[in-house]
Amino acid sequence: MSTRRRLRDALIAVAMAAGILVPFVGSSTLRWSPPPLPPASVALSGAKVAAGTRGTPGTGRPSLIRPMARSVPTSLYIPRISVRAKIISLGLTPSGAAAVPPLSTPFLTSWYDQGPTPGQPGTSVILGHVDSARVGPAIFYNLGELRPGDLIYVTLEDRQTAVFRVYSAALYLKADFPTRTVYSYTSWPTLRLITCGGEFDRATGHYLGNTVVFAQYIGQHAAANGP
Amino acid sequence: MIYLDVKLSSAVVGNDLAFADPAAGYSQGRWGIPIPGGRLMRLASSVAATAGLTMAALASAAPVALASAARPHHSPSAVISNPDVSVTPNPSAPGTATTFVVLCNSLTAGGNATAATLNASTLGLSSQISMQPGTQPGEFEATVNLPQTIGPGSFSPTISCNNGVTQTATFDVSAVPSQAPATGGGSTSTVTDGRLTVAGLGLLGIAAGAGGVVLRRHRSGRRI
Repeated sequence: MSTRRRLRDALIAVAMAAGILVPFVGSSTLRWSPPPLPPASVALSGAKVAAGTRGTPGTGRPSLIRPMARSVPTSLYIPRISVRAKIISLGLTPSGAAAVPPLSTPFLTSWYDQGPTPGQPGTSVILGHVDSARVGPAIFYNLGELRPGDLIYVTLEDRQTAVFRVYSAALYLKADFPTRTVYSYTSWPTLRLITCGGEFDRATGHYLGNTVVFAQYIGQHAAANGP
Repeated sequence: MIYLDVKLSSAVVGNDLAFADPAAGYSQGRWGIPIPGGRLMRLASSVAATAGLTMAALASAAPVALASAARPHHSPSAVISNPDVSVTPNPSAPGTATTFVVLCNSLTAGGNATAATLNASTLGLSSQISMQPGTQPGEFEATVNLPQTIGPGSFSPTISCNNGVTQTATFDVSAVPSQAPATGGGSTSTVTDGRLTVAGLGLLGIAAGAGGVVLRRHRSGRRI
């Protein structure tokens, strides 16, 4: 019995075992394709905007448009990814993160109620889940598909609708989350849409990253009919 | 002079209610400052006469002192919505450049202010921040960067003008998330699960061992 032949047989056995195991493990976790992520180029432009202009949008501001009065946001419409969602008001979790709706309501979004309302000067923040165990893809599953120029409509309690235009999108590691870039005050009204992204750590039950969409206020939508 | 100021002011405080009504008749003084006439003027004259001061001294002191009587004395709670101080943005946030603008030319003080100081010690900043002159006389402003570590809540730094006016600039600081939000259950994700990896490697090891045993038996059987 040659050593070479024994080695060959062992390799065959390992290959057979792997061939059985890998599809088994894979099929149980890849029931849906992973959520789309911002491409590197868009993420890069986000970093540039953040570094170059301290978090304010790089493009020119509309001079005739005035910021809006404070009014709590109630619903969200993003035509590009066919998202229509209700918005609830939530604050901070005990650990200091912006709270999100429970996973049992995967199609609700939440507005961070310690900051400005959409259309007010400053950075308003709306969060939503990317997926949940019960339903699979959740409300912000396709958030990473948004590109500069896409529009976001946020309707407020006073029935006014603030319109935002996306100027950047990026994927950040949670461990290195740039809270200043994302949450810092901007003199012009801006909006951040945030969901999870990247790889999922099943041991901790959390994604390793966050997809963040940056948008700037471009005016009010005609109030009567809504978007 | 100072004595006269104090004397007049204290004399006027007692008659406060008589002059609290803005509708009371005013006349323009020499310096364009409204002077309430009638009873107050008589009171001031008598006080001045008692002090034995010249008319020149009265002329220079009276407008300021008398004008103080025209300003209603509010309860302390009215200071919170003081229209002579503005804070932008309000609410502010940690790390945000925040601008304080104060109008020092209060009628309750002695003359125009030429300087003002912001005491920002309650914000974790200097207690002596010199303010820059603003766009109109008596207006001063200062912009400070709030510390990243400042907690959420209501803050009331004080501003001292050098004409004796002290203003309280009450504003709110909102909380900013310090962590990344948890926004997914992971059902559509690719996997990086340590337990599954360990289990998979274990199964592979067992399979390899079993394969080896089978092959050995196979070979030993063939030898017979």
